[in-house]
Amino acid sequence: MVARITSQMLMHSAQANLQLSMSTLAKLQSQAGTQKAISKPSDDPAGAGESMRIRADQRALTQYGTNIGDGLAWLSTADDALSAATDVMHTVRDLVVQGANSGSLNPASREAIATQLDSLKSSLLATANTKYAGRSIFAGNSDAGEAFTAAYASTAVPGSSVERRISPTSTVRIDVDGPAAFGDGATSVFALIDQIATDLRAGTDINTHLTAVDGAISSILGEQSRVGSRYGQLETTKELNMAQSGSLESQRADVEDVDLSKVILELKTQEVAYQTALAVTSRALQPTLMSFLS
Amino acid sequence: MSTFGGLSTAYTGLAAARAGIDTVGQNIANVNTEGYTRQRVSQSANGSLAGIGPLDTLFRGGTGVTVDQIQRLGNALLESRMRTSSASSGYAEMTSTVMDSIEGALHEPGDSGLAATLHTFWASWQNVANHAGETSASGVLLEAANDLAARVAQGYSDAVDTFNTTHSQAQGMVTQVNAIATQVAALNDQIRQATAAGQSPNEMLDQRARLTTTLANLTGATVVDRADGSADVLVGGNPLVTGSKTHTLLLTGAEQLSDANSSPVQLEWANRPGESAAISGGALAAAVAALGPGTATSGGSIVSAAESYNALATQIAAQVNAIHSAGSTTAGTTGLDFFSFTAGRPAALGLTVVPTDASGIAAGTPGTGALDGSMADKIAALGTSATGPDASWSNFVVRVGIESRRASDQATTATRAADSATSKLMSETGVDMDEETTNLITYQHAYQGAARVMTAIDEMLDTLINRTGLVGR
Repeated sequence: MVARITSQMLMHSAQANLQLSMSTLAKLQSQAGTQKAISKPSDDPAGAGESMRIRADQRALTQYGTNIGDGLAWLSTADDALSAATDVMHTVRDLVVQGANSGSLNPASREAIATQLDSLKSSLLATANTKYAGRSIFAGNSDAGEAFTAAYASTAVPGSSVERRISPTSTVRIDVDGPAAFGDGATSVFALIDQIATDLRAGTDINTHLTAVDGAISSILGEQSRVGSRYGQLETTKELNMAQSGSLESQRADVEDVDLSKVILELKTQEVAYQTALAVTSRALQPTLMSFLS
Repeated sequence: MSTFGGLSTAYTGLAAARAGIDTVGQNIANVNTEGYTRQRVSQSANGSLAGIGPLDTLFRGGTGVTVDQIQRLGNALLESRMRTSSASSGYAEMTSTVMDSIEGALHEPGDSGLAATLHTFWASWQNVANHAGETSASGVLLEAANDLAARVAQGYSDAVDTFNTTHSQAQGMVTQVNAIATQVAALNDQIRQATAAGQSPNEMLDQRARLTTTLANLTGATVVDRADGSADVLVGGNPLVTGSKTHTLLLTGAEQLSDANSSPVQLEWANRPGESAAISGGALAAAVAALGPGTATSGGSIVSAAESYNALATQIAAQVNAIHSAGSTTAGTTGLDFFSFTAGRPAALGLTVVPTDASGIAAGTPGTGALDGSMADKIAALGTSATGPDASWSNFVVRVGIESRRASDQATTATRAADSATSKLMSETGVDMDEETTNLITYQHAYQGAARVMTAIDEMLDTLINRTGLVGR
């Protein structure tokens, strides 16, 4: 209970009240202006920590998106290359079947088929050396420039693979094991085609190679199906990431952003309160007994 | 009563009324003066003169009024309460200011904070993992790494700035305290002399009260009033002012943040060097506490913030280097560090990036091909590790947030308490215009009344002197 009211005290408390009202108004105005409920950690320390965690997750998710995009490009390049290789191998198989009819072929025809096989081999070798963005997709992490040398030796490092991180816990292989698809050195599909051409030129029966050719085709197809399944995995993760990105953004907004309608309402209320305080103060401070004495 | 006694009585009334009007004038003149305490004329009635002998049967009334003194209507209890609340609000506001400045330098949460730089840094490692040995990805990583080092150094420099600002503020406050102490001592002397000489020391008392409130705000000083009118000022239990003597406070210890742990900042009495003055209230105590020694998790808030930046720099370098040195570059080199420290500088300022191009970045596991990026991927995974730099940074930000929040809450509460104490004191000691106006009218009427009495006596005497003895003329 205040026993005595003095003009100085009135002035002092009016000033303090106006200051308080104004600082609330300023805070609300800044919230409405920036749309941020947390502009510094002390506004909501726990929320600030949460917001930083969400932002870290968002940034990581963006990076996984980049990784997945890169992985998809690698895998689709690999898929195209393997399809092309399969086509080549089917042509090779046809030629082998054709060349195996030894009775009906004269040396000139054999030579023609052999030449065709040679060029198919070159094209297959070129396919096996396919690059994406400067990297041989069948060479793993090797920097040898090409996946298979002119002597058909694979330059890939055994046991190493090119991986892309698609989530905090998992990675996906995005290259293709060159030796698994095309073999390596003397046991490679290129050496096999060479052998067929040589045998054809020598007049040896090449029918025996048909099984080996079928085997080579099935290894290529086997790798292609793996590529397909990994492509599918990346696509699924990409969609998941998109959904997660949306939910992270809404989490971030929940933590960091203001409820606009609430802030505007509070701002209006506070404005009215401030104006009232101003009006009341101006009235309360004016009159003294002086005004009524003549 | 003598014939002219009535005139003299009326005259004392006139004099008292004039003293009252003068005092009202002084009050009204100082209605807006800070720290002014209202005054009032204290007057008492004069008794009658004693009778002389048994035959003296004359009627003897009072002989008027005496102005005893001009009273200062202060309130020692409220003044002391105001000093106490001012001391705690000084402490809380200073703490809050320092925390605000530390917090402001964080720029969190948002896109311009250190956390965002860390995120970019880890993402760049992921890109290097994707494109090991490529100039563009490596260039982006090195840029992000240098950016990170610069950002950590910036944080440390901000702490250094805060330290310097707070230190010079504290130094300024010490100078102010000593200057005010001298003024209080001088006032003590004057007040004692004025009191002894029977003069009114009211205005000097007001001035001294205002000065001691400032002292309380700065140092949490308490005031002990003495019988002779002087006042002793105690800071942390030791006398700052005793009568007309003063003791000098000094700010000693580190003047730079780097020395804050080896030679702590403290307040000392000039006559007792090496011994802390142990003051616990007021802005000065808060500043000295903030400047005090600390570790990354406790102690003086400024040094603690700087140490947190150092700890963060050390942690980033240690964790990245541990993985990086196990990796191999495209040329197969292993055992390389990614970060190093400039010797002789704080970790946060000395953090430097070792590689200058792709050839110095060990992104691969040895023996898995030159373009392997698995080590870079492992480094990138530090970003999501629960024991990684991001987690430490987030903990630091949350801790600063909590401390700053607490400091600002305390400052708000303390300011309200101080406001309320000020309000109470103003209510008790402030000048009220209505009251003064009423007093003015009262004294004016008293004056008019006394003058009328004088006129009446004058007329009475005129009748007696000039008109008696004329009967029958």
